[in-house]
Amino acid sequence: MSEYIEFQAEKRKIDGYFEDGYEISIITEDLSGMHIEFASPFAADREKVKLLLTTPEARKYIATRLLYPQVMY
Amino acid sequence: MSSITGGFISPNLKENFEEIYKGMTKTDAIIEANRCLYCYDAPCIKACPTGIQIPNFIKKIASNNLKGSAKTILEANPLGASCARVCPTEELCEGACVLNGVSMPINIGNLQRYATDYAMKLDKPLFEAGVSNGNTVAIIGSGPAGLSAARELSRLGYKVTIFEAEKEAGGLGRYGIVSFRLPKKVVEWEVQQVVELGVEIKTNCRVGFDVSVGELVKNYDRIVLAIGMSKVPELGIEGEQLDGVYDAIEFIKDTKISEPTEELRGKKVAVIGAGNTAIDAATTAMRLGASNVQIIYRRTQKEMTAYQFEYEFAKQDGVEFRWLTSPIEVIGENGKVTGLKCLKMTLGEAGTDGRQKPVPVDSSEFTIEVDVVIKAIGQSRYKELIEAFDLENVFGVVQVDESFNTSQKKIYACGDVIFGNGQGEAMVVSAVEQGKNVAKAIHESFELQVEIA
Amino acid sequence: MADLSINLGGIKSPNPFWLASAPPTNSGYQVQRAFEAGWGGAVWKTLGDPILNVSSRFAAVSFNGQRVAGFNNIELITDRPLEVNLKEIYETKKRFPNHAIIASLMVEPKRHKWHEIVKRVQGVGVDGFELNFGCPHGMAERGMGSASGQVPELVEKQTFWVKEVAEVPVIVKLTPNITDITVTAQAAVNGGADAISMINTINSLAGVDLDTWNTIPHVGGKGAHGGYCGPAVKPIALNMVGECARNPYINVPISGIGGVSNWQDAAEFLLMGATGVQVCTAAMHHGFSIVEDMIDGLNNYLDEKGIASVMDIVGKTVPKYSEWGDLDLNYKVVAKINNDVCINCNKCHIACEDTSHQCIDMLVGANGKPMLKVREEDCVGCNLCSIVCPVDGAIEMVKLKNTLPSMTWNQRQEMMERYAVNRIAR
Repeated sequence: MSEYIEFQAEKRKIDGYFEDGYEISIITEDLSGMHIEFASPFAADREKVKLLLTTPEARKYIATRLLYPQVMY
Repeated sequence: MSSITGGFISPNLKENFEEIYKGMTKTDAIIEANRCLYCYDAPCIKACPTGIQIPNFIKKIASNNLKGSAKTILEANPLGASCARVCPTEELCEGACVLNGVSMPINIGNLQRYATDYAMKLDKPLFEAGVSNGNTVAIIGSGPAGLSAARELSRLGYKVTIFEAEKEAGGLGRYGIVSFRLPKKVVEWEVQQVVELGVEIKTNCRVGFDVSVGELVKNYDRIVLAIGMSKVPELGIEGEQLDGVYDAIEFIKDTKISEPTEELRGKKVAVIGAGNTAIDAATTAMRLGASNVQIIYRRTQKEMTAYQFEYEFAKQDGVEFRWLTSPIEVIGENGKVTGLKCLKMTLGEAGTDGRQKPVPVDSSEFTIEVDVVIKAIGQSRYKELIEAFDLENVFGVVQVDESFNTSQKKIYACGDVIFGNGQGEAMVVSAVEQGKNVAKAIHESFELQVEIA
Repeated sequence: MADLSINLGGIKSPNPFWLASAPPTNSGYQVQRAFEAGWGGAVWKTLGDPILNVSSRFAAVSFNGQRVAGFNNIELITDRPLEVNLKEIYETKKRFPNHAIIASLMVEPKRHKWHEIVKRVQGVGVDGFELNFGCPHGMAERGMGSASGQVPELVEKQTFWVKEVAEVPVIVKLTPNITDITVTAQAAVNGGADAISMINTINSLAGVDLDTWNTIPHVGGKGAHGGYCGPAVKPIALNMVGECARNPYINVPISGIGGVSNWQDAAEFLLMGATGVQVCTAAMHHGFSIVEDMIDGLNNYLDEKGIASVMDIVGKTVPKYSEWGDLDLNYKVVAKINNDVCINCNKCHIACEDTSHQCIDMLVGANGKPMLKVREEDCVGCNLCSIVCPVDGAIEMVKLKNTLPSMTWNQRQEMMERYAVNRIAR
């Protein structure tokens, strides 16, 4: 599958979680890529979501969003 | 082959028939080979009728792997050495080279010559006969089509016998193409490569005379008709039987089997026709010492069928061209040619083949003084032999399907014998490719047999 | 007409083009011919105890039929007595008072040896010294040349000794056969060097003869490593000059050496921080007259750029030379193929398909002709296609408008720290 299509899918997930107000609690990088743990600020039970980013473009994208949280994406 | 420059005609006739172009030097070849871009899916490969892996063979010249280079060429084209000298590369591989318009197209023909010259010097067989499968094939004709089919069939394990009417094998390459472009030693080497694969060539053996058609049909599993074309036809004009009128093919053949004679020295010559054979005949006449040679053609330079580089070469040799001129009578005295009466022509409407028909101009007769007239107006067909095999043909052009199978199931045909009426191409390289394809088709026909059985 | 004169650490020269210390500068006859041809300066072939040379001495590496892409030598320093060299230096300087003559020196790492040679040589009026800490063969085995040059303490110490008695500027020539040339460059600066020059030659073997199995070159069937120079080494030299130029502790002028064949190469070295260049291989390949176009070409270039003096371009690219970690990860270029210019050799396709990101397609255009197209969303902007493309203008690397703000690796790493998990704790 084209890496671009994979990236688009991963980006959509990232954008979705941010839009829904999720925050990042933990990021781990290992041989498989970047593991992100999102936590919802609203749910009472602090629902956690795990996301694995494999494409380099997605890993760049999320880092950029974190570095510049004020920019519109 | 623009590397052949004409015009250096010596009073010593023998010198005029030595090979003109001596080939690239090592430095030349390495520099040129390194200029090749090594394209991917290169257009030159597609433009080569035999599909030679051109970028590969060129790279092998650059890496000093000459044996590998020669093998790459000869694998696709058993007559790669001849083709390196006679192919119209400007219209084929070199014409397709991506460097056209950017710098200069790669000198593919001469690089191919460089590698095949090495193979000839190496004098070691590059290919092996295949494991014998017990099947036999008779090939009639040892020209490019026949030799090519023979080599491929031999590699596939067939026992091949070639029947050649002439004294030596090689066909037009051996007898029909001028020595100064294609020396006989090249063709002899190519024939030898085929013989070394175990192919038997019976020379001086004319099918229909020395061996019957029936015998062949009975004794061989398959037959390949690669007999080419026959003599130049009659002009159909008065005076044609006079002493001094020649058949261009026979005329050139003479220079390839014996030393040049003084017969033409100082003579005035008219060559009728403007194909490659006419050019060869005209330049041969110049090189035999003729004082003046004119090509007489009823159409113009635009319709001329000879390759552009042949035309250039002829002009360099001093051949004159009379366009829109048609011969109407050969004039003689005491049985010898003294002149040629001609009629001016003009181009009229296009015929069924798309070419404009020449139309005589009223009252435009004139006579030119000539001592020799050479007919190069095409070649007739071996109709008798074709009929003897009972093959479907249109005016002597043997009809074949996409597998080169004739109307007789076990008989195949390829080369000039199937050329005509918009079918085939009369080039050495096309004949070679057809020979390969016939071998493949024959092999498949046996595999099919086995499947059905 | 631009002003091509330079001042390199106190050494004046009418133009930045010097001959490097090598066979071309072996004798007065040669250096005078060079000055006649127009070279601004020459570094005399290294003076020291006369050595013995072997035969053969040189080899070259050709590439795709083009000769001397790289050059290898196993020749040593001067084999002539000091007196002879000094006499010729004196005569040359008299005939050409405005051209720079620098004496290259190599002696054992002993203070009195350095003092002796410095005093004797500066007596004849040289404009500067170049200390040879770089020969990788023949002298290194005796503790000199690159044997000195690879040990920062020795570089600093010997430079210091020379500076104790030298009355003209001292250039220290550094060897590239080292882990980090900025370390030895700093050592030279610490020792008091007025300038540094780099690179000397790189350890190498030119080739192996496939028929005889001898090394190339060989001396009676035996080989030894030599020093590599010529066009092939230019990128290595250019980088080393750049690394030294951008290092704040190395604040002396640099003389750039390594594969300078024409005025463009020279301009590139100057932009990367060299005040002047030294040439050897190109002169050995083509003769001294090559300096004519070097001068003319550089002149025309400066005129076109509206720059009055060649010194004005020194180091202009150095501020742009950084660390990998400071490069913008969000800067994106993609390849764009111009099908009007493209000759359909398909090399871009196969290079990308086999060895990069498989994003160039061989298609058939609306007019039925073959065309090559880049799938931009899959293109990572590696440049490979534009590199293999043989036709100017057929492929252009086009910067995409940044949709994302710039972010360097270093910035990313710093930010990631806030989210990283302590792995040991886990």
